[in-house]
Order: sequence, then C-alpha cells, then structure tokens
Amino acid sequence: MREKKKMDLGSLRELLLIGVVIILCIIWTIMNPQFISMNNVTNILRQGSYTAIAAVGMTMVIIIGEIDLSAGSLICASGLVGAMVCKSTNNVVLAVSAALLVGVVVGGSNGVLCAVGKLPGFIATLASMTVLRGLAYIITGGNSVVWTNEAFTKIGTGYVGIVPIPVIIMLVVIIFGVFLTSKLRFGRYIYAVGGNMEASRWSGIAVVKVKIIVYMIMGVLTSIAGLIVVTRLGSGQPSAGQNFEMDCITAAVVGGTSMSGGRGKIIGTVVGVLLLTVLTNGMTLVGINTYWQQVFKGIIIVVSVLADTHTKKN
Amino acid sequence: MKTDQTKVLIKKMQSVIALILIFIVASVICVQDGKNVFLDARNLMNVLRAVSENGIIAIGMTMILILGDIDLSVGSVVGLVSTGCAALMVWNGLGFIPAVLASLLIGAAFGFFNGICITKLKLQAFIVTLASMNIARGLARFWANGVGIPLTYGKGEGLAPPQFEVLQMRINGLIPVPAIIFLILLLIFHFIMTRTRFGRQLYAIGGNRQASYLAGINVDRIKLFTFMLCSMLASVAAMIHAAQISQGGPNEGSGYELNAVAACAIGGTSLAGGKGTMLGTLIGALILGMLDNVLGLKGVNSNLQLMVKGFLIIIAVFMQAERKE
Repeated sequence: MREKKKMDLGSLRELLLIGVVIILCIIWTIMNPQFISMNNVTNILRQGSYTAIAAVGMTMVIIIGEIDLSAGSLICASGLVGAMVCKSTNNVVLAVSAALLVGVVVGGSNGVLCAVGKLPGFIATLASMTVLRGLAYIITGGNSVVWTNEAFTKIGTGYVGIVPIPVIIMLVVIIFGVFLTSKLRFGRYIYAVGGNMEASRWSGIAVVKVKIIVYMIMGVLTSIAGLIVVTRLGSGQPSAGQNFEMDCITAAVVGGTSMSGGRGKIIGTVVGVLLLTVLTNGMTLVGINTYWQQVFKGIIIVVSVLADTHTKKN
Repeated sequence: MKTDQTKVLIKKMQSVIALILIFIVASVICVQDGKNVFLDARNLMNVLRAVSENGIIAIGMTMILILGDIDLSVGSVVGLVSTGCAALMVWNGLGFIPAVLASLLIGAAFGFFNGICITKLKLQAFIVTLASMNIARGLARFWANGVGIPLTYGKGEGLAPPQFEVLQMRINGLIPVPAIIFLILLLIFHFIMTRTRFGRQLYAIGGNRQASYLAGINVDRIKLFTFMLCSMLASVAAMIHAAQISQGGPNEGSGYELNAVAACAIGGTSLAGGKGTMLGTLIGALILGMLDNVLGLKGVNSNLQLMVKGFLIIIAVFMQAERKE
C-alpha cells in the first residue's frame, strides 16, 4: 500500500514537470507561432540531444552519491580527439572509437581516483576538468581542428528520414539508461551504493567496481555527446563545452535526482533536459535578453527543486 | 611510539612542508643572469597580491565547507559586485563609503538568499548556489550590458572616487594594500574560528548537524549568517579585483569558486564538513599562488599550468585521505 503511494508520488513529479513543459510550449507558441514549427521542434530536439545523453550518465553518477565536474572538458577533449583522428586518417570508425576510448579512460580514471583513491568526486573531477581543458589547449595550440570526411559530419547533422541522427542516438541512450537503472541488478546496486555505501559493502556489493563502472559509463556517454557537439559545430574547438557539466547537473536535479545520492530517475532527467531546452529556446525566440535568460534559469532551478522537497514532504 | 608521533606530526604539517619545498625549489630554479627573479622583494609581493583575492574568498569558503556545505556562487558574486560598484561609482556618482556599503549589501543579499533557501526551504547548498551563480552572472551582464565599466579616478561626473584607488596601491611602493586586507581578515577569522563560540558551533554543525541541533545550537541562524559572511567576503574580493584591473567587468570571477575550494582542500579542509582551519587555507592559497607565479616566471605555457594545478589538487587531497585512516 505504502509502496504504491510512493510510486504514485514519483510519477506525479514527472507528470507535473511535463505539465510545466506543455504550459511553457503554449506560452511560447502564443508569443511566437514560429515556436511550434517543424523546423524549431527538430531544433529543440537536436539541442537537447547531447545534453540528454550526458545527463543520463550524470544521473547515475549523482545517484551513486558522487558528481562529475569534468563532463564539459571531456565533451571538448573527446570531440577534439575524434576530429583529429578523422583529419589524419579519414576513417570514421577509427575516429569514433578513439573518442569513445578517451571517454573510457577519463571516466575510468575519475572512478579509480574516487573509489580506490578515496577522493571526494567533487575534487577528483575538478582536477580532471582542469587537466583535460589544459590538454585540449596544448594539443591544439588553441586552434580549431577541421576535417573533410562528410560521413563524420553526418553524426551531428545527418537525418534518418525526418529524424536527426543525434535524436536517434539520444533515444537509444535513454532506453539503455532506463533499462540499466530499473531492470538490471547493476542498476539496483547503483541505488544501493548511493543510499548507503557502508551497508552495500557489507551486503557484498563490490562498491569500488560499481563506482568505477558508473564513472566509465558517464565517460562514454559524455564522449558520445562530445562527438555530436563537434560534428554539429563542424570543427573541434578547445574552448567547447564550457559549463556543460552544470547543464547536466541542473537537468538531473530539476528532474528529481537527489544530490545526496540514492534517489533519482533517468526519465525525470530527460524531462528536466526537455524543460531547460524548451525554456532557453523559447526565451531566445520570444526575444528575451540573454542576460535575463540566465536569471530565469537560476530561478527555475530553485523553484523546481522546491517543488521536489514539497512532494517529498507530502 | 616516538616515531609514530613524528609521523603524525609530519602528516599534520605536510601542506606546510609542501609550501616550503615549493619555495626552496622556486628560489633555486628562478635564477636568471645571476639574479634571483623569484626571491626579488617585488616579486614576492606580487605573489601576495595575487593570492589575496582568492584568499579572501577562500576564508569564507572554508567556513562553508566546515559546515558541510558548498558555495558555488562566489565567482559570480565577484562579477556582479565588481560590476555593481563600478556602475554605482561611475554612472550613479556614489561616493567611496556608500559604494563600499552598497557592494557589501549586494553580497549580503545573495548570501541571505542562499542561506534562506538552504535553511528554511531545506534545499541543498550545491543546487541553490548553482542557481544563484546563474542569477548573479545574469544580473551582472544585464547591469553593465555585457561590457566592462572602466574606472578612472578623480572628482566629478563619470569619475570614480580617488579613495577607491587605494585598493590597488602599495605601501612604500612595495606592500600591496589587498595583501594587508587579506591578512587582517585572515587573522580576524582565525580568531573567530578558534576562540569564539561561533567558531566552535561551526565545527559542531559540520561534525554532526543533528547532535548540534539537539544540543541547542541554532543551526539555521548560524548557517544563514555564514552564507552571508561568505558572500560579503566575496564582495570584498570583488572590489579589490575591480580596483586591480581598473574596471568592473560582468564576466570577471568565473571559476573563482573552484580556485577557492582548491585552496581550502589543499589546506586540509574536508569537503565532508567539520574539519579545516584558516591557517591551512592560507597555506593552500599560498601554494596555489606561488605555483602560478613560478610557472609564469619560467614561461610555462598557461595551459600546462592548468594541468599542473589539477594534478596538484589530486595529490594534496589524496595525502589527506590517507591522513584520516
């Protein structure tokens, strides 16, 4: 009985958020009919896709009770590596695997520092954030990296039918995330470790391994996002992805993930990304000053988290 | 037994030892044309000046971290206040004292907002300050229309009061005023943390919030007050920053929050709360500042500097993790 009530409240929250998204959409459409045009809708989906992909990983990292500040730098670094490999070998498969490898290595080292080295995730990933950003500038010399391979560019700009490829990748990642966290034993381990690490260890969960794998998943998903960003931009920039990690964290928290770990849902995060993307896209279309956009974004975060604590209390 | 004690002592003093080591290495490697460019009095004072902005913010951050919270908004508050005080002085013709008070008030208001959201609305500090980081940055850009406001000193329309220039001066042409402000603030807060009830209450709350509450400590009021202090210290750093670069810029101060956290972490403050000292933070800030200075003197690529800093943070915190066991 009690269990059922809890679940209702959980989905209530997502329904509430979807309601907010719909209301926002109606407001934007009234203010500017362009908003609901096919063109803009695909645009919103494409804008949201890479944030959603990385935010799925970020949600798992936060559920396990840690954080990843290096996502923005990794987006940049993995995209750069992909672009450079594509430039020199003209081989898309090689470029993509190199970028993903960067994600695995960075995610893995974050995980090792955190789980084996016993550093707080905040510090470990703060450090890898600065290291990666520095590296990105050093290997490029501050210049952008361009390539000629059309197929590589397709990752971020191509379509299958009328659906943009990034959106398809996003859907696959979301399904993977939902399946992993709600259907697999590994997913339950993530919640268990985030809820009570000590108890999880005593009940035989390999806490260290789970943490490292979660960070690796985060790394891989971030580098997928990095590939999309770089191919959409058309060139690898050493300054790309700044503050991207904050967008992911914001989306996760707006979607109901608790920063203290153990609680959160992938679907909530996806709705969070949708809300933030619709918000920024609409504000730009309606012509709200970019400076005010930032203020509104901050207010939305507080309000949505506030709503969260209140649904919890009830 | 004795060796155990020595070991403990060495572990306790490891950040001091690191500071001394960096100092010695720096003095040895920075000799150019038979002149030691690092040990030059003026250069050492430069280090102090560069450290003071980050140091002042880190004082507030130390208290926040001891509470077991975090404040990500300080960097944006630096941007907002440096813009604000420049705008008030240049555009609105405010005098020195009113401008300083207004700046502190802006800081206090943000601290109050953070504190109220955290204590009364029971939101997490990370999220609240992430939000106010956005809000402050947006307000700053809106206020100045996205561009910096240059400060020229003098009397009359569009000129900043000459007293403000003091913030970038050097006493005897050597000792920078910001460094003096930093050291005075550090002493005050060191005294507060070690000798007053407020200080002990901060450690108590960070160590065990529930127990402190049951022991009759007004947890909410102290948290609120600490967040206000932290933002006001960021305002002080913002004014110094504006005076230093003779401009109030809405994009200034980004990333300062992480520098401050890094200084605290290197100085031994635990991110989990309940542990940390002002002197540790001073040493952490000095290590970061000295490293920047030496790498700059040796002409090391600024991006490589970023990497070195990243590795240093990991090593420093890793050493502390061992200390706990």
